[in-house]
Amino acid sequence: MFQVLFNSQIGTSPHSTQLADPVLDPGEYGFVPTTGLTSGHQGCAGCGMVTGTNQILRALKLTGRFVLASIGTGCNEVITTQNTSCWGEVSVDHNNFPNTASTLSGNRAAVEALTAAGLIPPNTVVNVGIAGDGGSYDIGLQALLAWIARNENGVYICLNNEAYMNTGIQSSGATPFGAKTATTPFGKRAQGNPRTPQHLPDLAIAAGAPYVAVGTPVHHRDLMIKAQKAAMIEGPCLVESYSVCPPGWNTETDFFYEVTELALQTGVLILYEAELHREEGYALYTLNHVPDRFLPVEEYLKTQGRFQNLLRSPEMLRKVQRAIDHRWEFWGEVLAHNGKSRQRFSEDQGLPVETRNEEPISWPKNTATN
Amino acid sequence: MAQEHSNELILRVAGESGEGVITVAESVSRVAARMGLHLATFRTFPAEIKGGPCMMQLRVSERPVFHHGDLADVLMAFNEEGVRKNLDSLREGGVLLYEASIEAPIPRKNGLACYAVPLQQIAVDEVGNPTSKNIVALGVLTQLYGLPKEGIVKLLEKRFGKRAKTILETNLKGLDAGIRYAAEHLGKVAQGRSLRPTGSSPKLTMTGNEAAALGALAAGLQCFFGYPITPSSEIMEYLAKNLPRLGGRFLQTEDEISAISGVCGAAWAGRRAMTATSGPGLSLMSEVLGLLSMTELPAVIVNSQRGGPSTGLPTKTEQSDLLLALYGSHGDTPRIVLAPSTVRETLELVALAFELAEKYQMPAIVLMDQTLSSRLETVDADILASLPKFPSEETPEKPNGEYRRFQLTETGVSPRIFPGTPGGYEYVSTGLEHNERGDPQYDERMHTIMSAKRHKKMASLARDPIAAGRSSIFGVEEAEIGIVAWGSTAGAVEDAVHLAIEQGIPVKAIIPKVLNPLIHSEMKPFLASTKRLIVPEMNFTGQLATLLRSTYRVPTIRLNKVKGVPFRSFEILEKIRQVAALPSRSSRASDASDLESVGLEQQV
Repeated sequence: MFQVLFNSQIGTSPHSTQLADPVLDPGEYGFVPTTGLTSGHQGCAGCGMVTGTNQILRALKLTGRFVLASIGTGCNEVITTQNTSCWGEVSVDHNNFPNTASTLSGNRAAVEALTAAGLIPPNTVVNVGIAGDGGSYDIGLQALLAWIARNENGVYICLNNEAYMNTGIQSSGATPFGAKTATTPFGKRAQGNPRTPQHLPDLAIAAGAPYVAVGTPVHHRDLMIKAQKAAMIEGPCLVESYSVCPPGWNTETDFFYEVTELALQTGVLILYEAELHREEGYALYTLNHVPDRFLPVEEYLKTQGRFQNLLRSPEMLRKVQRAIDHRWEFWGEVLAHNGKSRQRFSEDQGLPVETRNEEPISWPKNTATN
Repeated sequence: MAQEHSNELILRVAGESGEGVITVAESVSRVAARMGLHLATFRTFPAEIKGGPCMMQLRVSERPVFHHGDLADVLMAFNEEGVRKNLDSLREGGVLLYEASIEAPIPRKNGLACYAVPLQQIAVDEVGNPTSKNIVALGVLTQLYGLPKEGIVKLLEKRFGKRAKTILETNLKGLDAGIRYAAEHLGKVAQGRSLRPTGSSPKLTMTGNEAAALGALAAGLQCFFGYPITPSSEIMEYLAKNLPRLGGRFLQTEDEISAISGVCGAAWAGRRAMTATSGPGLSLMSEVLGLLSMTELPAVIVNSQRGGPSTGLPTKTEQSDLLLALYGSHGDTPRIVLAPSTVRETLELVALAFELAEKYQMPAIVLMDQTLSSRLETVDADILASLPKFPSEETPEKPNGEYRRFQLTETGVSPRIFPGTPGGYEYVSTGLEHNERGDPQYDERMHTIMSAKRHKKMASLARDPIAAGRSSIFGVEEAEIGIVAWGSTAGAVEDAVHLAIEQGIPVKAIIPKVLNPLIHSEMKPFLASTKRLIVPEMNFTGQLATLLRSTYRVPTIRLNKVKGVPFRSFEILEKIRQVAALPSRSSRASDASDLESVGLEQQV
């Protein structure tokens, strides 16, 4: 499909191989002369999504272009449309659940038509689509991948809080394995979410997105640079923002930063970006952040009520740890180059793949006799 | 209403979502149900998952009630907004109990008995936890309205006893503190309205959503496909817990199109399948609904309606999906539409939907709405025994000779043998127009024949005794004024009809439960004996009125309400009085009355 190349340097840089000039570096403290999502939204205390949207909007405005957002139904839409003044000078087109990317497409087409007609100068608008994980991984996936396939200009932001939170916490395609939601309950035979989550940036880059990135509002410089790059790079770019959700994850509201840091330290969350040079046939992967120390995944799971059942089952826990270890193997080369290493935490390390005890945990088969 | 039945109480609890409003109201509801009293509730949700105003009204009574009541006897408000927003819903002479620490001035209304209760302070002083104020409030209500304390204690034990002993103890302390405070300071508040236990047996309490899920399980649901959407998500959540336990398959799909397609696939393979959704989901499902009609496969779709169009009012109620349910999808698509008006009927009609869909091989849509979905109601325990049992694995009769899946028959219903049955029963199911064997054939003749065949099933269904006799008809039989209503509006209509008859206005009403096909044997005599027909609906355009006018050519007087809240009986009563006062000649000028009724709605 494409050759994978690694950027040997770890860290976030405002430079991109696809841009002539670097984007603006907001600096360590993120002091930038723009406003993002302002007060008046109704997000819960400790919501990672609101902070993420705020930083992304601020970053997009740094490009000096007018921000035109199309937002899909979801938590983010509900909490920001009760008092729409919180969007500031951003114009917002709220559409239905499945079609954030399609509406983004329509918005972009109109902007291009207006530009062609000479009514607005070129390159003055950045079109951004903002949706949740339900609207991106599940119902909106078709529209999203088709939008990428059409290779249109725009930015797609997925605010990933790993379930449908606004409708009362039901599982989505992004819900972690073993997590408890209203539709993946704990019980004698049900063990939380039986599915392994998908990873949207992988899908997007496979579909041909020139730039995909994973960020978190806790590392705001990183996230803001990524949002700017996505806006400046030609083509459909995707940024996924990891969003802590206290009511949905059953965490205390005060530990938004700590939970995110634990996600980084245990390796559940990997901050990276990938630039696809489609014509040249290679993708350049950059690892943006390596924690000071790596921890086993339990440390992260323990902070959240939704994983209570998972913590009771060593077998399921091993499966989660294995998945994380496998994911990190991808970055082994980069870590080694930088003189870092990540210890494998799963017990079966070193065993050949065939002998690993990997029984898929799925819903019980229909055992009724009738 | 409430004044005339001494053993009846309408209680409204209001506050901020997360303050325990629903806990208080639900606890009272469940204890009242244990006392053998009947119950109907109404609750509003904020659009957000946390925060926002929240309210629950409950009506307990000795006689069966299917409406939460117009005006409350008692309002318990936890914050200023709770008082301000709900004061108009309190009857004259009612009791307002409010949190004493509210700093804003409490709006006053004449004829109300207002009492500030220091709920928060009691919670802090006696329990040591300000969040226990809802339990203190529950204690106050327990004392004032004679609820059995042991019943409440049992509820709390059930909820907290297993895991959190300390939480239970805190709650019990709060309950006692509330009871003590009410006994010492609020002796006269109750106005002798204590609830008395009745002799009848304790009742089950369940919400409309739970009833829909239970009805489906009783009817032998084997596969559920769903996608979360307010207000029908609880059906899905209930089945996520219970369907796998019973050996069924529960699948959450990535969207509603997938959900209905999954149902379609399961039905083709011979399992009883269903999905539950709300308006936006039903819109997405429309195309597959047509496929189900074309391929003649059974499916049950529960649609809990919410305010529309588009995202609309996700947490509010409306009855605006009727025409979508009837006609959504392109082409002529025969289907069954059922509309329960109470929780008990939801149980029965969801089970009936499975039976009819299976028998007539077409999709069946059950139209609920947000009010009914979230309404807690008492249901006699005997209902569970009377529901149709899990079907035995009946083997369909195998036809002699060549198997023709779409064979033309007397009733229009063709033999359906599940794929995989040995003996040459293979066939291709296609959305293209097909001949009797199922092979695509769309010449002029075949399309005419097959369209007629598919619609013949509707005629057979309309004559089927299982579908007949479901409409509820009440009121004065020889009355000239008639009301046709559907769904959850029925409760308010019932109250309004009783009130009108008490005031000397003869009136009658019919609540059809099978809306497609309309059962002419029940509708026609009613309409023929009615001179003025009022059709109250929670939608703007009068969808049932449109259906009645096109089907029966009757003039209708519409009463539409699109406020996102259900009808109050006095609104319907007012309309009845207006119509009764109309000179007789205008009774047939349907258009003029329609315009008038829309104007009236704005004043109500």
